Order: sequence, then structure tokens, then C-alpha cells
Amino acid sequence: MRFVKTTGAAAFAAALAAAVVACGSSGSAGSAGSGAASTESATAVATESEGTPKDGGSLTFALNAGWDTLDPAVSAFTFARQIMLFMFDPLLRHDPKTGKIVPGLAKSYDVSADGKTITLELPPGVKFHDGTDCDADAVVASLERVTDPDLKSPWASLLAPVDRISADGATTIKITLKGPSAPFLDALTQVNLAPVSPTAVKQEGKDFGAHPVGTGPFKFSEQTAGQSVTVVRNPDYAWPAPFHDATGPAHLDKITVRDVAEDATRMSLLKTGEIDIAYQALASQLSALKANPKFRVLLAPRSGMPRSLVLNTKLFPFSDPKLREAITYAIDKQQIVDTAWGGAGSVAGSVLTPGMPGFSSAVAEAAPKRDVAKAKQILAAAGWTPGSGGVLTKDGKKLSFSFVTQPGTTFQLEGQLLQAQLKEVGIDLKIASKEQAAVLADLQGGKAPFTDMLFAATDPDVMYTVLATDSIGKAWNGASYSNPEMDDLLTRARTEIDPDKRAALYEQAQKIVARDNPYVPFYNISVPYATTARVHGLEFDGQAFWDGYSAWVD
Amino acid sequence: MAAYAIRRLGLSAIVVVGVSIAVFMMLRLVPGDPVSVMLSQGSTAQDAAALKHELGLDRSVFAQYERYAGNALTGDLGTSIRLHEPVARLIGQRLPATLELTVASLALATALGVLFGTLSAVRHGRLTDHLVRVGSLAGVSLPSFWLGLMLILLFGVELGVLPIAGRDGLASLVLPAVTLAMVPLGIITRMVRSSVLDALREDYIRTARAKGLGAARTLFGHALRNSLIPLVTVVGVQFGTLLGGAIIVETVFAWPGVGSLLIDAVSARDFPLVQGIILMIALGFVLVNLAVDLLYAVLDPRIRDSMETAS
Repeated sequence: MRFVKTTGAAAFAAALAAAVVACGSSGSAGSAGSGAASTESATAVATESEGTPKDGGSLTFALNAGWDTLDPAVSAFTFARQIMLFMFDPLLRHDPKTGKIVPGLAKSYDVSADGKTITLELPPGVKFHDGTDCDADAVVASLERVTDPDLKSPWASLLAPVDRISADGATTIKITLKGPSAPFLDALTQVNLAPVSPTAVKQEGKDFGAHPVGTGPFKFSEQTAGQSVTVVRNPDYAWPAPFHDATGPAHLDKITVRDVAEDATRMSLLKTGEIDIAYQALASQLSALKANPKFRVLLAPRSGMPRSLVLNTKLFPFSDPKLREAITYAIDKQQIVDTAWGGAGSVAGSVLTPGMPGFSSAVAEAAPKRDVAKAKQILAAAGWTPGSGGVLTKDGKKLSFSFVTQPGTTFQLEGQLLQAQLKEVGIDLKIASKEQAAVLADLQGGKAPFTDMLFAATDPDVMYTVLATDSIGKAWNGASYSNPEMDDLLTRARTEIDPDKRAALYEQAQKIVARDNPYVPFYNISVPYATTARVHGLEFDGQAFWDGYSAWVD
Repeated sequence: MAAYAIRRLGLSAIVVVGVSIAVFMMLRLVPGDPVSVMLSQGSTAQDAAALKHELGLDRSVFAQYERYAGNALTGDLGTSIRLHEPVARLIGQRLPATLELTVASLALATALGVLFGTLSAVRHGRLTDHLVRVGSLAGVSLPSFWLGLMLILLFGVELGVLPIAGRDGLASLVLPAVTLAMVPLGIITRMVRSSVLDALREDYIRTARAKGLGAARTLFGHALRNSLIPLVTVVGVQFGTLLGGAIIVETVFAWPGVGSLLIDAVSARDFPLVQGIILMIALGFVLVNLAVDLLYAVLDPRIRDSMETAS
């Protein structure tokens, strides 16, 4: 986190309004996406489990940003999802080991042959923390609550494919879709659609988020505004998701989640043992922490679209596809990942992260490696000739443009590396630092010629969000890329239920991205978690979150 | 005196309205909007244009301000765009923490500032004086985020005697309050030093000493008392600086106050929340300065007399 220093009492109001921070960590766009019954999706996982789990003890976990409400249907915050995962059970889950969609609270699920009916089966005897039965009616009510127009849930769109939801007996839920929807199962893995206690919803009304009641392994205990949330073990928990391969309640007595935005402060808290887990450990401290036996560093890969350069296909100079191609040879991805991002993660080659359903390893492996001569050759063939100061020119115009990025060491370093790398091929790159909100607005409006973004998701439908013509200006097609062939593939992939056929559509789409280069993926990110040595059993999902069930401390 | 108070109150109201307009317009001129930040958090399929309409952001700035001002007059500061809670409630939750921090800092800065400043003036030109002057310059110059992190490393990590972050009892107040107090401490020290020095050169001091008054009574009863007026002004102004400084200090120490709330609100372009917090800060600043102006009159009969003549 970086500050624009505010000084002077006289202009204090102006200074306050301009005081900014930019989270150098989680970066730009992040989304939950939506998913499919996948054949494979190895959202590989950093797990650390040695020895026999012990019951008891408590643990403090510091995030690098805050949360809004803890009402799953209402919260729009990424980190609220992490906290809610302790208290609520999503109906389906992604297996942390394989990334596949597996049963969650629902002990089994079935998709009809036509892909239009999904049947979920609850285990018997599930109870909310307030003692209310979590039966089929409660699940139906929870899902219908999300689509209640009065609630204005940001997650209502996840249920857009749904025609009807009904309870069939005490433990069976039938969801009828308007048509086959491949991403819908992934939607059911979102904690935002997890069952909430109908009794508590009725009692608390709009304040449900301040007193959340779910079925999860931990119960809400208390919250201090802007500071912390504490959850305690649910002693009656007997319905862990089958992939946990365990029975009974969680190991920990208590988990305290704190909001510590300042990176250096969070790392200091870890060193004194005031916290046990630091989310997003400082890249510059990773190697020292790894070398110290008192700490551990766990890398939790975050699936979706890798961090990618955005080459705006409608703006100078990237309206010329040859220039976009030249960039793919001009940049040194490995150097950027190692130097700017502390090597946490791997170099990306395709617009989907490895392990995502439909990820094409062929496309990833064929991605261009740095080749300055080739980049120069492509540029020369496109009519660019060296001008004054070694900068390429064409028709009197210099090959000079800005990289729009955020303040913060990591982003600045990334910009400087790109600047140096592109200079070698005769491109004059300027760095335009803007605050995060401004970068996001530029991305969404397709106003930045050259920037970078990532998109967290667990379903390949994320490609629709960043590449479909329909997503320009509305969603996150920051490259303003428009190609009917791509639109057709991505639309068909949404309704293709057969996982293999669906993967084939995405393979083709990834090939087109690699040919047209509206995005140049360079970094499959991993969230670095630093923990004290007493922490064990953290299992991360594709969103780099953990549900607390398997965690234990010495 | 009453007429003076009323006039000052009227001027204060104009300042607050002015600030509210300036902040409202500035927020909308700065690049970035709440909708793209909200959408970046995950609800992907939501339509940006629809969301803008729902939030009323597609109307003209003037129409938006009219609506905001109308509601604000009835005490309704609106609802936070991203936290979905009434702005007044959010500020109410966080204000005690910020007040605790700023009042503690100001008390610390004033007490130590008067002590060091007086000491320095009395020991004019000697080692104590030099040390105090260098110290106060350092206090004013050190960036608070750097100082805060250094204090964390020293007292939290190395010595392990004080809590590093969060608001949990009196001990947790020490580091953030000391960090925040540094700038006003430096300013108050220097101000007290020079005004005590000036006072010590006055004729009435010589008279007091000539009449046989002890050094201590001369200092406390005469010199220091006459230095109080500029002190009150400086302390009043510093209150505003502290509210600004709290933004950084609260973030460094994960202190759950209005400052850290404001940082998040600005970066998310949460217009109603930013407006509400700035309005509250402006109001606090204006009220403190109003109190300071009125306090002058109480402290200094000359000002009181001139006011009465003027009105």
C-alpha cells in the first residue's frame, strides 16, 4: 500500500479527497466467474499437512483489505467471501486437490441428460447455527432470496439461467434451468449462494450481515467495525464436504480475522506472533521467510485469467495486429514474474490458468519466448524504421505510448521492466501511474491503450467476460476485442454440457487469442500466504481461499 | 460578543457548505467511478450502465448534488455504495476510535510541547535548547508512515513491549498516538519557545522580577500565561492537521477509525461515504476553530473589548 502524502491544513479538504491508496497486491479485476462440470481442472493447491491434526487452539489471520457485510447474498467484497467460507457451506465445492466440482453441503448432485435439471441431495439432519433445520425448503428460500429484487443482490445474475427452484421432499432440491448452462454448476460453488438461516433472515432483516447464521464449520461470534471478525467452532458440525475425507467438527476453537492493510505492519504482526497467517505476504520478504524455520510460505494459485498485458485493439498503436504480435516477442515474462512479482507463481502462456477446465497446454507451450530480433523484424516489415534516439517511426509518427498502471513497488517495477524490454526493440514506453479506481475505469471503458489486468474465476466462461463483443464497456473487455468467430465459440461454450466438447471450444478460442493477441498473458499468479510454523492443514481453493475446516495448530 | 459569535457561526456554515460542494464536484471530476470498482469485486454479469442508473450516477452532477444536499439537510447522509449501510451509522461506528486517537495525540503534543518549549526558552542558547530545536524540527519533518513503521519495528518487533496494530486497550493507543503527535508536538514546541522567549523580554517581566517575584512565579504566572493565546490558535489548527494525519496513521496501525474508512472509500469511489466523512471532518474543524476564536475573547480582554467596539 502506498500513500499520496497529504499535507497542509489549509487545503485539507482537497488533500483528503485526493488521498489514495492502491492495493499493489490483488490487482485489478477479480471475479468469481461461474463454472462447469469439468473433467479436470487442477487448480493446484498449496497444502501443508504434517503430523496428526490436533483439536483446540485458536488462530489469527490478517487480510490486506476489509470486507463489507457478512450476508452472502448481499456482500460484494472478495474478502467477505473468505470470511463467509468459515460460516457458510456452499452447496457444491471445487476439490482443493483437483479443482473439480464436487459435492459440498449437498452430498450429491445430478445433472439431467438435457442439462436442464439439476438435482441436489442434502444430507439429513443439517442444522443452522441457530438450531433451524437446513432442509430443502431452507435451501430454496436462500436461493430465492438472492433473486429478490428488494435485496438488490449483486449475485442475482448467477441465477439468471434458472427457471424454477423447488423442494422435492425434505432433502431434495430440483433446479430447472431455462436452457442448458455450463457455468451454472460453478455458480453453486459460490459461497454467495450458500444456504442462510431463514429464521435469522426473518429476525434480522437487513441486519442479517451483522449477525450471520449459516451451517458452516464455524459460527459467528463477534465483529468490530473495520478491525476484526471472530468465529468459533460449530460443535454440532457433522456435514463436512466429502472431499475433506473427515467427519465431525473442525479442529480449531476460534479463528480471528483482522484487516491489516499496510503490508509492513502485517509482516511485523506475523513476526511477533500476534497473527499466525498473513494473506499476501510481501514479495520482497518471501525468500527470507522461507529460510526461517519459524515461518512457512504457502503459494495458493488463483485460477481464472492470468495477469495479462491488455493491448487495446481499437487504439494506437495496437489497432495494428502486427504490433501486438511484436510485443509478444519483445517482452521477457520470466523477468517480470521473478523481479516484480517475487517469483510467486509461474509464467503464463494462455489466457486461462493451468488447471482451468478447457485450459490448453498446447497453446500455453507454443506461446512466444523473448526474441528481440524477431520482434524487430516484425516491426520493420510493418513499416517502422529507426528514428531519432533509436525510437521507431512511421509516417512521421513515433512509436511511443503509455503503460497505464498503479502506484506501488510491484506495479512500478513491472512498468520499468517493460520499458527497458521494449526499448531494446525501439519502442518508447512511458509509465502512466493512476490510482486503482482510475485504472479500473479505463479498463472497463476500453480507454487504456496498454495496461495489465487479471481476472479471478473458476470457470472458463471468464473468457466471455474479457473477450466477447458484448463485454466491451459493460464487463471487462479492456482490449475492446471484437471477433464474431470468438463470440460464437464463447456463446456455444456456455450451453455445451459435454465437458470434452466444451473444452474443445475453449481450446479453439485460446488459439485465436494467441493469434490475435488482444491480451498477452504473462503471469499465473499465486497468492503468497505466510504463516507461523504452528499452523497446519490449510487447503486453498481456486480463489486462493480456505474454509478453516481442516486447519489446526500445534 | 453575541453578535460576533453569530457572525462567526454564519461564516462557518458557509465554509461547510463550500466544502461539501467542492468535495462533491471533485469526486466526480477525478477519474474512476464506483461502478467499475464494484464490478471488479466479482459480480461479473451485472451491467455497468444498469448499476449506474440504480445509483443515480447517470444524472447530471447538479441534480445529484441537489438530491444529496436536500437529504443532508434532513440529516440523511445517504447509504454507502459499497458497504450498503447508512453513512451516518458507519461514521458513528468509527468516530470514537478516531476521536480517541486525535484527542490523545493532541493532549500529548500540547503537554509535551508546552514543557519542551518552555524549557527551551528558559535555557535559551544552551544544550537543552539546541536539543529541543533539533527534536522539534525532526518531529515536523519525519513522514508519519515511516516513523510509524520504525516505532512498530522497535517497540513491537524488537523490544516486544507494545502492541503493533489494532485497537485493543490503552497499550494499543501508545504507538499510533505518539506517531500522530509528532508533527503538532514539533509545531507547538517551537511556538511556545518563541512566544515564551518574547514574553521574557517584556517590560512587565522585568518589573515582576524587580518587585521581587521568584523566577518560577514570573515564568508560570506571567510569561507562560501570556503565551497562551497563540498556543490556543495553534492547537486549534493542529486539530485539523491531526484529522488529516490520522488517515495515514490509522492505516499503518490498522486503527479502525474514520481515516482508514475514508482511504477505502476514496479508493472505491464510494461517493456518499467520502462526502459524509469529509463533511464531518470539515464540521469538526470549523467548530474547533470557532471555539478557538471565542476562547480568545475569554482569554484576552483586549480582544473582547475590540469585539465589543466592532459590534
